[in-house]
Amino acid sequence: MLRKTILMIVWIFIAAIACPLPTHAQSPSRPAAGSPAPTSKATLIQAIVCEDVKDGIPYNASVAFSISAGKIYCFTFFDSIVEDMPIYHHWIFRDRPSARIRLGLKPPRWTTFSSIQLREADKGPWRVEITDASGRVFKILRFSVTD
Amino acid sequence: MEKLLHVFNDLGWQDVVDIGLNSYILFRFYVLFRGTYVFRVLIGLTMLWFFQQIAAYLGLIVTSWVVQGIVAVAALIIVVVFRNEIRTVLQAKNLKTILWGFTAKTQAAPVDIIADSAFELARRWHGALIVIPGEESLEELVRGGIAWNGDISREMILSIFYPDNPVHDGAAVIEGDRIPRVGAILPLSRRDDLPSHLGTRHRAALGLTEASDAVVVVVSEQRGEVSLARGSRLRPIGSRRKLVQKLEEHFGLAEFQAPEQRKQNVEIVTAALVSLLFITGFWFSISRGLETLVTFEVPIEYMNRDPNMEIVHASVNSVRLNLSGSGTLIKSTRPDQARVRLDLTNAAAGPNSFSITGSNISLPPGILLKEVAPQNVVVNLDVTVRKELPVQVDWAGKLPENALLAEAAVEPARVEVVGGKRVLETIFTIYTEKVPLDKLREGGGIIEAGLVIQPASLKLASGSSERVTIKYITRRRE
Repeated sequence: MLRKTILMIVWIFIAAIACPLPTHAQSPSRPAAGSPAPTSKATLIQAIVCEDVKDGIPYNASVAFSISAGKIYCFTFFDSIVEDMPIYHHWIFRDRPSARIRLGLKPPRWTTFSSIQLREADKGPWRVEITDASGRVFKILRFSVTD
Repeated sequence: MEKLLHVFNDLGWQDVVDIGLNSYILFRFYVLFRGTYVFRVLIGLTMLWFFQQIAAYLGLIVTSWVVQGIVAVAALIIVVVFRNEIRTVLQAKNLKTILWGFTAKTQAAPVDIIADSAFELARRWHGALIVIPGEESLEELVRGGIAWNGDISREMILSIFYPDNPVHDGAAVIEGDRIPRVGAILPLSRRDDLPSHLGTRHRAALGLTEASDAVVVVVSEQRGEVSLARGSRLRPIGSRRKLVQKLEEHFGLAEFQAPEQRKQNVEIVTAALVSLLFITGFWFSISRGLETLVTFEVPIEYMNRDPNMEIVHASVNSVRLNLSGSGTLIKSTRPDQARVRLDLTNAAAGPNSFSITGSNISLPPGILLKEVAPQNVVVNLDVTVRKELPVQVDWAGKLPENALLAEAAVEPARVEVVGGKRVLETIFTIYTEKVPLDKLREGGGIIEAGLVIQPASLKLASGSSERVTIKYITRRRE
């Protein structure tokens, strides 16, 4: 609880000085359905952009988010992880990189997510590219931020 | 004096040719139309034009305006009223006569016999029409008549024009020392400025000489006078000696220049000099008048671009040309007559800097370049490539509070785009036009949207559709 409160305070502080602010979290995962994206050291099982992630579960996955949502998440679930490894969530707004968030994976399966704080100027088409450390793309998620 | 020398030093070969050519045209105009009513009217028009220029210079606005109107209308009227005379000059005479033409003479005829016969006919008050051709063929002009082919003699000519002879009313054509045809019909002059006492015979003589280089000896049966028609002139000849002299001039037989010939030569030389002076003055008044400045915004034209490259960006699309010249020339110059061209033959991919100099600019004759701004242009060139790019929907607007757009698939998912390599290196997605969320149906559906290809230098490859289909699914919010 204390950790969560501290995290929230830090998050609000950073959001005030630089937006969109990426955040991330990671935890051991539960299996979920989806098409696997084979890599050498991990397989992407699920990747979605959603309005919220609670207890490792994504909520309200969509391809268009209202700016009034305030914050959006990119949720990923990996399986067949061989060893500890980093992955990246590249948040890109209109072909211009907006945030690059490093997340860690642990064997054998792992869920992880990142998020950004939305501002008025963020309306428009976005994409999140999920890659490994070498730049290999697991998946690209496309969505829009709207009114 | 120094200023005058400076003016002449500035003359280029084009200027000299310009003055020379127009002087010659004016001179030939004089040679072809002298003695006709057209020429006198033209002189009147020229004087009116000068008068208008002086009036304009003095600031007499209405006078200048009225005279200008008269000159403009008169120029039109002259073409209509004098169309016959103009046609005679331009059509009947051959090209050599129009362009060069002081007629070279042909086979000599026995001028003494012709002169003796003409004055004897005049003494008897017998009318006569004797045609002596020049270099030009008379086939088209002289009609009818009877073939004669007799040797020429005084008695023969007197006999032809004897009043009881059936052919005495026509013309006798003399070629060398023979008379090939008698009783011939000549074309009548269409001029309406001939004196009323001249009859059909004189009009026929002029009709032929106006349209050819022949001369015609005319004997009037009413007044017993001998006249000689040549060109557009009909002159009475007072003596046999004078007629011999005129005919010898026609045949080029005169060993010395008679006063009349000398007078004619002086007239020709004077006309040539006046033409030269007039055109020179006119040329200087137009091209070296009071200097006037004007600024034109002229678009840059690019030439010799490598077909595999395209212009992605140029620092400027047009340049300002500060031009000078005489007021007359500047007033008649339009912006599209000034052109700025840049040669891209040696241009490479990437930014290329060009200096705009006089060699890049073409201006109408007499217009000078004072300044060009900007003087440098940077042109960004790029190699044309094709790239396949994913299509992404650009959603806009708002869904109802309890709904969310769960999925959307675009068909086709990728399109091929053609454009500059450097530009395409920075482009990773082609977006649709804004697709409003508030028009989506509950549950899902299919909609169409157009693609937005930006920047403008990019184009969709042939075969790629400009519109895409979007299949979507909406759900209730959790």
